[in-house]
Amino acid sequence: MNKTVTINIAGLVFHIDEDAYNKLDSYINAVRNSIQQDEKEEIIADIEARIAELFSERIDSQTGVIRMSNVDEIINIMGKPEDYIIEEETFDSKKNFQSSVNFKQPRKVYRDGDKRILGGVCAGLGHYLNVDVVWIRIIFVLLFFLYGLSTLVYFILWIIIPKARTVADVLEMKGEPVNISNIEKQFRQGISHSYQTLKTNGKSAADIIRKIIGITLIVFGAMGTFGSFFVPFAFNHQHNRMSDSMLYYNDSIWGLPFWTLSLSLFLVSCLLFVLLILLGVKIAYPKVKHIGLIAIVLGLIWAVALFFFTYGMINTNISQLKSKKTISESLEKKISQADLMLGTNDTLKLIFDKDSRIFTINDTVTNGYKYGEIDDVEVKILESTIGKAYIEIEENLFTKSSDHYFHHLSVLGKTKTTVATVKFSNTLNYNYSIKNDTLALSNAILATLNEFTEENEVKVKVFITPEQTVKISGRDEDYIEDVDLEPGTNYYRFNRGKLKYINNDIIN
Amino acid sequence: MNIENTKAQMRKGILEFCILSLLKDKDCYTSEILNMLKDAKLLVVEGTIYPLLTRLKNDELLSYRWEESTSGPPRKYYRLTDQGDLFLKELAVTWEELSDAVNIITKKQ
Repeated sequence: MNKTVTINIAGLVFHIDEDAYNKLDSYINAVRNSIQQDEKEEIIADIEARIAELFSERIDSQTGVIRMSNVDEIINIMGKPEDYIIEEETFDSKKNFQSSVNFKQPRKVYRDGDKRILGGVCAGLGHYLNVDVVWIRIIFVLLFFLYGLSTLVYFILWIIIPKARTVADVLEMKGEPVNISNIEKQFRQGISHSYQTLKTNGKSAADIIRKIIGITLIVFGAMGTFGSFFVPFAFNHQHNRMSDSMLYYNDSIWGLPFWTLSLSLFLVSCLLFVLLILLGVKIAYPKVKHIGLIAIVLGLIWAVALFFFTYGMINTNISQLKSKKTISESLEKKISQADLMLGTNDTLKLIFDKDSRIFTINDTVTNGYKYGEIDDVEVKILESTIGKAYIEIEENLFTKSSDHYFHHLSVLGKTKTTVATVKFSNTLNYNYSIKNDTLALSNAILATLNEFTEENEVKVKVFITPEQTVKISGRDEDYIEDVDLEPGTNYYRFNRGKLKYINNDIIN
Repeated sequence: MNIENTKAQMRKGILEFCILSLLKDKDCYTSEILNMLKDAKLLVVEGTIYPLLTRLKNDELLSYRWEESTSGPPRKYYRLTDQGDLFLKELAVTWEELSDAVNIITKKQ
């Protein structure tokens, strides 16, 4: 079986067996090399026209194909490449003739596909330098230990040095003149045969190397893609940590929630590795289709994500750099009064309770509590001058509000300003209850847990008339100011403006 | 000493003269010239003729024109120029002298 190629000689089209074509091509090249005149191409055109003429006389009318025998016949008629040499001086002809045959032509660098291990670079260099290929290979192996230099050099040479494809190339590579006798020698050695089969041979060393490179890329790409899933988490974690800058990150600044920033970061990281996988697939399995298209689409998405993320981060940083704070701090004083339900000569029972709210408010903020006990209550017992008992509570609530003015770029590049207001306050109302003659005070002040919690304070004043008595348990000594309580039950009454301890028996 | 080489050299020397002589009376295309030369057994392989024709053309002894052919590629018809005509006449004289000389010498032996 023989592959046929279609050729065009001097405007005529012929079908020719591939081996016959190779020989004819080599022959014409050899002739071209023999002709020493300036009008080479004109002469070659004449010769080709004659060959076309001879072919059309000889063509097999049944098959219509030019065969090897036809080409051999043509070459016999036309003569050897040496026959095309005409000498200006007939006397020197013999010398010229000899020299043209034996003169070693300058070598050309080709990759030798016959002696190759990978791409035939070393073999080609060996021919060119006229050195045994083994030495070149040893040099390349030694160079590998110099930072893998030879790998890079080899691949570059593999790319830039053409492969010896035709018999003429092989002869030029070996520095032998391209003439018909040498070409026939090559044919006899079966070298050209191996050149024809190279293309159709499936598994070659290069294929295997390509598979290895491709699969390595796929594996690295897959690992990178997997790793990319953790990038947004790391970023979010950092977001929580960036106390001062990102705390004021406000979705309204660029109208998109924070997770879009995370998503774009994920895409920026992930898509690169996906592209690496695609490259690996393309190298290892060149026949897979549509990879280029997918890669272009993913590349565009990547570019958009990169832009998005960059834009977001630049904006956040600009707004941090240019943000202005205006802070106002104040103590808000709140005074409330309540009458105590007490008869003229009654005794006020003063007790302290735990504030139940501290156990019920389990809010989302740190440690499960949004509010905490900030202080024990200090209670003052004072003389009422208005003839009835009452309680006065003075709450000093610390409020701090700060306005952040963020300057940032909008999509169109204009600067926009957004204000983010942060306010700290939220002290709970001081809790107490009045039931008949009993005043139950909370034993602690509760306030929002923040850095200003300690600034809050509550003053509790209990007013009684001189006729009235207050009953306090000795356990509650710590809460009462200016009074030294005895263990057990204590009764106190005002006597000439001063709170006096009185005996239980007197009252009763 | 290769006898074939010597024969080829002898033929090559008079090839130019013969080509010009062929074109003296009528214009010919390349294959016609080839066929006549081969019939006369002056030419063994065709290859030699092409560089020679080109050289003669470059020396302005010949000129050519293209003509379409019914059975193949277009043909190059060569024609003797005036300068070629003069050249041929000089060669013819030289050839006469040479062939006489060769005859005299070879018949002596």
